[in-house]
Amino acid sequence: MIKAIHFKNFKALRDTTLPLGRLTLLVGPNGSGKSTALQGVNFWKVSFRNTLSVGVDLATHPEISITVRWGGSNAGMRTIKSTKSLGQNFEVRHFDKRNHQIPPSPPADGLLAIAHGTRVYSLNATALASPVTMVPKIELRAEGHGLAGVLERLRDDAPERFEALNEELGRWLPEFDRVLFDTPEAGKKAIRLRTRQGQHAIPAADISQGTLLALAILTLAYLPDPPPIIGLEEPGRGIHPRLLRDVHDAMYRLAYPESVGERREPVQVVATTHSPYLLDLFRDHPEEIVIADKVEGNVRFTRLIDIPNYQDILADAALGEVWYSGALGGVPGDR
Amino acid sequence: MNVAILSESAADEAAVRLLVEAVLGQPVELVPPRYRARGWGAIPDTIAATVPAVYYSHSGSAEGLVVVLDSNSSPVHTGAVAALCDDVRCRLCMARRAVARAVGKLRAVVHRGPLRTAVGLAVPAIEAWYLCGNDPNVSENAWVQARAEGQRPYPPNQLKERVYGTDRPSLERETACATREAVRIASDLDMLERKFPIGFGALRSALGNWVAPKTDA
Repeated sequence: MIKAIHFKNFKALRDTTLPLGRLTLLVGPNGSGKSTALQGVNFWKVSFRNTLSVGVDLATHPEISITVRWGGSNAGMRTIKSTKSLGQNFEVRHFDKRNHQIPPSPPADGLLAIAHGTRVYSLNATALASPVTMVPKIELRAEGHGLAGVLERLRDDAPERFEALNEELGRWLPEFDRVLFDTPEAGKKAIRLRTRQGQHAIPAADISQGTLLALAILTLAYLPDPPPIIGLEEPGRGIHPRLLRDVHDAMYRLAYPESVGERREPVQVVATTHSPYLLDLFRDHPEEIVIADKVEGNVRFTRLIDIPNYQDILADAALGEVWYSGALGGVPGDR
Repeated sequence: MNVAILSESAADEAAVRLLVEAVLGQPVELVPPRYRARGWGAIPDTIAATVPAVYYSHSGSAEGLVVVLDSNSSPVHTGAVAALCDDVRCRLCMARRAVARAVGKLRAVVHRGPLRTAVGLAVPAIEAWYLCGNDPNVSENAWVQARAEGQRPYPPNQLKERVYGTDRPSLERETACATREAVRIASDLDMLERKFPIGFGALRSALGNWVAPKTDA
């Protein structure tokens, strides 16, 4: 599990550390580096091109770096640095915790899972609804391409999980009762959702954005082998506030499988949101909230529980309301 | 009887429905839509909106509205249960005042009787009610005494852990456990009222007024 990521001159993140737990919900104003931080979670695949922060003097701040510290039995630290050189090319170098340059390949320890297993999703309905060319070991891609293939694999490889997913889908969205599959052309798969009343099979292209996003999150939560680290950009986008409890539960299913009787490794989940309604649901676990603030050109990430007297500030109010008020920070500046 | 319930979650609603059925001694049908409270700051406004919505509703015909909320760490009601107390932070009275205000604004509707209302308050959370009979240390009295000594005898996460087996229950698990426990505690309403004389006592007393007293012909 990643414990923290330090960013230096990486886009809006000049010099800041993002603390992470098993589940982290990141809130803050637009442009406060939440999405950039998710890219950092996927640091192995990050591109340093065009990353220097606006306003950074290249003569005095030539170094861009991301340092990841992970815990567990193979705890360690890895820094990826890049120095801008002529022609907009970036030379990327890897360093260990003693700042010794090392080969860029991930060692066969905790970093290997982080390097190869991290997935960051910014799901969109068009990608989720698109037909899929079937390939072995198909995965859900960053924007949601592949959903039909992933669901079909789930149906074939883990039918009991697929049935459980259908049951849960029916609880989330009672108008539907089952995921069906379609072959729009040879070698391609698409999904349809069957209506409970009338048993009509609705093509994915005609299903609402929120329903498709909910189905994608539900699918991730029911995979027998989910990625070890998942970043979710705005998982509540397009979803009714009352359904956010189900989104919350799906994230907990991933991060705390033992809470639902699952016997698999926990997934580390990092999600961003602007929804006070989603935030409300984390009232009992303030340690899972990180607030992003823009401070004098830099971004600061603060865990809610590290804000002095946060319990007095929260009192018994809804967490989302308190955040909206500005009392916890993480809100846009004055205009 | 057709009833609307304003509660904090679907799980709470399922349990409250069973308790209301037990108190009324008759089946209760929930009239859509399902009403939800979100944060105490908004409760007066939520009640002010819910009361006329239930009364004037064209989608159903609820004869009564039940409001059950958590007290969290707010001061517990003092004095006679049926009377309003002086502490403006008392959530039971805050909710009852909001209900009375909203009911007072309703206009008479032809073929529509007055809206019956009942307010209950779980101290400090509805999970405490679910532990009634299983944990002798959980009661309003224990909570009030501990608070008077500046202590918090059982934080919400601990109550959840004890009821749901985890402090991160899914809604499905919450609903299943809430339903199971509500069935159990509904079988001994007197014990529930002994342990929670204010929050549950107020609910039971108000619901008692819904049923027209039997008179000898």
